[in-house]
Amino acid sequence: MERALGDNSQGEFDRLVQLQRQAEGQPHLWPAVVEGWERFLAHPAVAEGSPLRPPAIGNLANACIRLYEVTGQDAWAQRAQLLLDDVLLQLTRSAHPQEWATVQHNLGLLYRMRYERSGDEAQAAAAERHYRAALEEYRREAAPARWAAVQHGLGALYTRRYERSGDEAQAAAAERHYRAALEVRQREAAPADWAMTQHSLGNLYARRYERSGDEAQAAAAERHYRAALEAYRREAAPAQWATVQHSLGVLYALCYERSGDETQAKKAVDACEQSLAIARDIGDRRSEGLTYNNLARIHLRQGDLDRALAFSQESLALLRASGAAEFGTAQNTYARVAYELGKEYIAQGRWYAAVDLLEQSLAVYRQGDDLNARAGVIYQLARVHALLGNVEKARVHYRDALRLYEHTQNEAGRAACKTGLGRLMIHLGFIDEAISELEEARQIYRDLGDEEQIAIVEDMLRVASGIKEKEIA
Amino acid sequence: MSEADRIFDELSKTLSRWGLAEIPFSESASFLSHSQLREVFTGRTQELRQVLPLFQGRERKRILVYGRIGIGKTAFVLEVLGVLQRKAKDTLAAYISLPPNADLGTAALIALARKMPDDEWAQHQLNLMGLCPKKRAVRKAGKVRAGIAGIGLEAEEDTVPVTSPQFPSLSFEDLLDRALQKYERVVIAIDDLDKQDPARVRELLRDAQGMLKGGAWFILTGHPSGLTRDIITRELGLFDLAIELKELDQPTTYQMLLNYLNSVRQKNERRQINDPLAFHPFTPQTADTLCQRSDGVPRWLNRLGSYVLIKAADLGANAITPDVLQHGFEYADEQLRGQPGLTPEDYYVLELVLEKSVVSDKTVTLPDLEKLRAREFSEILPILDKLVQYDLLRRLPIENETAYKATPLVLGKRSGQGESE
Repeated sequence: MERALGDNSQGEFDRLVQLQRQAEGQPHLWPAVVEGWERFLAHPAVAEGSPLRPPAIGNLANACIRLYEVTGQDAWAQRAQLLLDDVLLQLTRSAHPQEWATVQHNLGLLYRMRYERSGDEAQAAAAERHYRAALEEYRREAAPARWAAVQHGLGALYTRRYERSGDEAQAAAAERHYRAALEVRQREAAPADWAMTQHSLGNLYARRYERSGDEAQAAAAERHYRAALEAYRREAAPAQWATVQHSLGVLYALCYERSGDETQAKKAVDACEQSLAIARDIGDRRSEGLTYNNLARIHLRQGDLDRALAFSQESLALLRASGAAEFGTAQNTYARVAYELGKEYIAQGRWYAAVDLLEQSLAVYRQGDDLNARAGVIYQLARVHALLGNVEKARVHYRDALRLYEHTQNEAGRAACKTGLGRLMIHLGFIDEAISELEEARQIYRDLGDEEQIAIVEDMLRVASGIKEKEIA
Repeated sequence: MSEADRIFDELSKTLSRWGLAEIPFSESASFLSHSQLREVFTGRTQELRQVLPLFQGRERKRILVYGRIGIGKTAFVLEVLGVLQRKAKDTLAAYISLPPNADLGTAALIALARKMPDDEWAQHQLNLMGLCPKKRAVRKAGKVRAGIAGIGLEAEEDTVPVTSPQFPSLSFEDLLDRALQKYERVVIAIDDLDKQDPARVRELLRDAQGMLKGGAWFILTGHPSGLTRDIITRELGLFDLAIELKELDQPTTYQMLLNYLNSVRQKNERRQINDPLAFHPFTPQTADTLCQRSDGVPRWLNRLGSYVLIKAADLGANAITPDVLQHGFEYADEQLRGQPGLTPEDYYVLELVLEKSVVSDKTVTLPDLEKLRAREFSEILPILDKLVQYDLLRRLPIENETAYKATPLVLGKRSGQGESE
């Protein structure tokens, strides 16, 4: 091998570039790509001074960025950064302006990915700086394809910022950059690049729909996704085609969650199944995991909680194994499913199973800041512990939920907790405390105009007062 | 002579000057031998009068002994078992502290098997669980020597794989049947249920109902609140008698201190309570202060007594004067806070309790919890319970709150006097 490389280092370089292109559609090949470039760079024929060395290092850095994307392991990002810094030492801007710009572009990509995972604005700012530096050398007239690629990258960066902030100005900037990219990326000349930007535009509109509920945004998203699917053909670019199917599935699932329209659910499941088939074929566990997560959400909305749980568990296992950044999202889905199923189990009298699920749900909510959702789970735990006779746990949970609801000013939640505490205190024989809690609950329900709950609380108050009268007598 | 030798000798000389053979105090009664326990066990007359008559009858009973951590549940149970061993020869009495993650069936099986050293099957059960049997289990295995066909089936010792019994309650029942062929009565005491989460204990009790209602007597120890309340209200019928052990009164604590000190004096130097030197090296005044500070909790008396003696010896004191006693209390505070196993999170929680005097599920605020990087009282509850185990906090006997405050062993927030109860 070593001798062969010595004779034909350019040929080996080309072979590795080919493998790297293949890996874009088959993520499981990335480790082989890294290994290939490492072997290549270790050979004496590619020692310091070889013209092939800097681009080889740049390609290795690219492969590391992709592995960071796939596995989420920061070590890959750190390695990519070191390699790109190394290349910048060898390829100065004055001597190699185009190559320098390529490295800046790749650094932009790396920082954008770090921002996607961390939400750290400093990473976003660094990404933008590197993208803009690349544009200083990539002129639209001289290097249109590369210029368009950076425009696309900036579009993606602003989309992520919009996802985090909801700031419409970020969405507008993202759209502007995508449209600029499309001015160069023509469907006939560069169908894959055109489709990529169509897909990203679809994602931007889908996020806008998610925030606003504006159906025009959903329609625009669907239009762009469909355009992308037409350009990516299943046979030619199965991985990319499957990713768009997944995005389409997510969009339909969002529409279904908002509208409850079963035709949207059916379309979502169809898109997910199309995506799943490809992901399984090419061993893309991240995509598979994401699609299972989407299926879990659809079944959760449909009330098919057992299937939702099964899909959610599958999704978590796959995303955990692949180190995907979206693991947190899948955990949130799992927390919602476990919460709903936990409530269902309480109703069915499967109390221990309910405790198990609700504890799992709580463990996820404890990592986040959705205090209302967290309080909801704690309230259900209080209920089930009360039913199990674990009165102390029930009491502690009711009071924990109450504190959180007071903080979030959730009046219905406060009233529910006070009702639960009142019931518990009657059971424990603390009648005065029970009456105090129930009277407060009744007042809140009066303010909310919830007649049904007022009647329930008044029944309990009658019981408590009866006990008190007997005690006095 | 090394420095360590010198220190050891100095302590021995000081103890000897005080007329003590060793430091008598012990954190748990389970560390004491039967004879030592007999010497120091004090009080609980009324409770013993409730329990012991049951053993004069034929009907099997299930007894729950409950009370706060350190109140003397273990000592009480061991004393009852000791009486049975001495007075009721037809009774087999077995004691076990509930091992972590074990169910009650497994615990009972281990306790009983350990008491049956001559029973091969019992010892085999212990061996299967990886526990050291009194007699080593031998598995008979067929072995044919090469070349001598048909000859030499011999016993060989073999490693027995470690496995948990698949049906511990059934295994226990089988063993119980064998025990009842030799004894009229089998009493199993399972201690330290209060070191488990109350909800878990409820599950354990629910799962072990069949066994508990079977052919053996059971004595279990449990939580002062929560568990007992839940059990008494919900599992009514599971226990025939539930005895609550409360704090000892001051005269009994005083007598207990004397018993401990006498237990390490020469027989001819043992003193009566009215002797002015009865508590030497304590003075009557410092003995009284020590007992008051212990608040009627035997474990606190033991811990404080031990730390005070060590500090007094370190100071080379001839007697424990109020000043020496105060040094001893400060030393106890320092030692308790420095116990291995405490994490920074534990200290933050302790500081919060010291700052607020009492922390409970009812009164704690969200900002209080957020200071501890928590948002639920449930999240700090395991730490609070851990600090109770470490004698830094006590659980207050309030039925409608889960409330904690510092023990009298802990001095104030940074320095100064501890609060008096």
